[in-house]
Amino acid sequence: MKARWLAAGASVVLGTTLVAGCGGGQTAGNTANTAGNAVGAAPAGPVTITFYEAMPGALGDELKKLTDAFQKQNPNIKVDLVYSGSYTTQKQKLTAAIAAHKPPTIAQVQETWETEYYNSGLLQPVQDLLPKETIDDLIPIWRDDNSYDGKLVSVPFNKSAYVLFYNPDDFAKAGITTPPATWDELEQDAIKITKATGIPGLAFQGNYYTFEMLLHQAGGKVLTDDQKQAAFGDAAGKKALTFMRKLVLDDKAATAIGGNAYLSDGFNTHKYAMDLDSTASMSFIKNVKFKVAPLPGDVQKAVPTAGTNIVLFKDATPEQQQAAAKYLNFLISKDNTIEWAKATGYLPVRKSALDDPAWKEIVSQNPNLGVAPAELDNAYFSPRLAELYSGQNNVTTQIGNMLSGKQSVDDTLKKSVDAINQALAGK
Amino acid sequence: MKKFWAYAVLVVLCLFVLGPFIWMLATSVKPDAEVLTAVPHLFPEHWAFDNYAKAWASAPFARYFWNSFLVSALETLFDLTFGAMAAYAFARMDFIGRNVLFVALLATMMVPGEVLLIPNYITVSNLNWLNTYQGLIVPWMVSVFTIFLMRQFFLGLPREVFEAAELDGCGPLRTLFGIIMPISKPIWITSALIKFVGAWNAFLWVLIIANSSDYYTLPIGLINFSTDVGTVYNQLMAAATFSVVPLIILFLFGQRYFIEGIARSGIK
Repeated sequence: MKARWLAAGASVVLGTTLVAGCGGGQTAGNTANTAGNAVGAAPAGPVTITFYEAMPGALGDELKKLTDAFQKQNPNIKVDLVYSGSYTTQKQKLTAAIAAHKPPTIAQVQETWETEYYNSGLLQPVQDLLPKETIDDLIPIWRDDNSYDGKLVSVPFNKSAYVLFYNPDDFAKAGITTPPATWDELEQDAIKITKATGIPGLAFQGNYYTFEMLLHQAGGKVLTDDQKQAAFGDAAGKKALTFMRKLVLDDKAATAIGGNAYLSDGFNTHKYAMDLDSTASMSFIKNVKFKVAPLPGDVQKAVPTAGTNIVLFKDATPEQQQAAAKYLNFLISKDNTIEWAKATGYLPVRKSALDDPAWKEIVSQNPNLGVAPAELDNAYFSPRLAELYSGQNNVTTQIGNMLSGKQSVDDTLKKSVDAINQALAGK
Repeated sequence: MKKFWAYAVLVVLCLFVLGPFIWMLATSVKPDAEVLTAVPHLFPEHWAFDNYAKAWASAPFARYFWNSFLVSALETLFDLTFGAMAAYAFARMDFIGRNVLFVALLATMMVPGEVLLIPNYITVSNLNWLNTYQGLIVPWMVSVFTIFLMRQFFLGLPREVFEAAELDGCGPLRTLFGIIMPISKPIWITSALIKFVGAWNAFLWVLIIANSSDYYTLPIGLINFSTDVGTVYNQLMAAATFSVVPLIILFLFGQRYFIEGIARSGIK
């Protein structure tokens, strides 16, 4: 969630209308290969597509591997991977490129920027470019998350969901045999662990997004259906805040960490025994034993999702659009989404992948990987509105004040509702 | 006794400055399991020098080094040349609007770089300089700070030096580069160090202008070790260590002048 804050903070409002037809006309150095043309609707001449991506280190290596395999299958298509660092810097690079009317062909984006680009008419929806089988096979939460006005605008790529991480040694010390499934169990287990081990039983980020998750679990929602007003100034909102406050201040069984820290670092140093974190964190926990379990729920289960989607810019030539669609279809093919998930810890994005024997084999070897896909029926995504950023920031401040004992639950709720309403009103 | 306390304070301050460097070095040789521990310890139990090899292999760092060196060296060279010329004009030449122009230049220092990012990008893009060395270098060939620093220094030089050169028939260029620059070593070495370090550390401009690792510099290599959910600290520290070594060497050579340059530029 850290990156989401940073990226949103880096947002620069764009009021840009683009001049069409400045797509990169440079040709790849390879000579036309007739064998390549036989594959599907492969374009006649060589086509180069540019892909702004923010996949560092091992993630980048895996993306490069998949891209190389694609280029081998399609010698007429050259994919220029342009590495842009973090999501924050990716957003900055895109902002500059769009302002100069030179967007890439495709780019990884977070939902809030995607909405911004879509509303500015910069994007070419992929609905009519991808095979229907692919679209129908997407896991529902991501088909919804990537659709606007009933059309699939982007392709889900590196997606993750939240799970409960726990240290099995601490569970044993506290005599806990099964991970908590409800808020009550979560609270009781956190108290038991704190008593048995002396470290806080639970950690979460003391920010807007944790509140949003608890709110959903308590049966509430952030915005009204028309997305014009805050809708959490009710019993569910109060329940969510009360639960946070009780865990930290009354039970003294949980710790809330600040915006710039990684939850996985504290878990790694055994500062706490459980945390609520993204599946993508798994590869960073190296020092202590860990297992993951589905997120506990209250009135209902509710699972936040994270990660990025890939969008196609309208400025691309028809040939580039065809080539890009082919590439995107390749990246999320059943085999490749499994391969990607296996190598990176992100989740497969297709229903058929979850039923595939290859995926089942991977999960049987590492059961932790099977947890998040199984809870996706309860998944939700945050409002895809960039203008909420200032309000969300303010809510985080209010929650901080509450968790440090300076502010009551009622005041916090009231101020948070005001903050979101003001952000929506553009104040 | 007075001296003892002075030294004690200096040692503490030194540790304050050196602390992060020491921690960087220590972390760079720790195996994964020892990077983050409940009780932090300085020396690793098992030394993991292969972090350096892994970090080096994780991105084309040889290329990044070369790019960093080329971009920083050229920017510094041009900045010194143009900076000295402008400073000479502001310090020794009379022309209409000199002071207004100088104040206007100084005012540009108040404009935050972020505001200029997009306009500069559009300019460079219209010149078709995206993903080129000139796109990386040309916008940074002159800095107002260098002009300011040098002008202040030149104003502090005895008038006689300039007059003697002019009497002997030197033109402005010859006076500047033949007479003034050689006696202004502290200030141009100071300017050069500041500029070089700035260019070496530059991140955002390089990231948005360059589109391939052919033109990326070291700071871009360093973000390779972080994701939104975690950071590979030991390899990041190894890469940071080898990235900073050239700067430390430069400082060791230039520090005498650096201190002199800063100390003297304030005296008129």
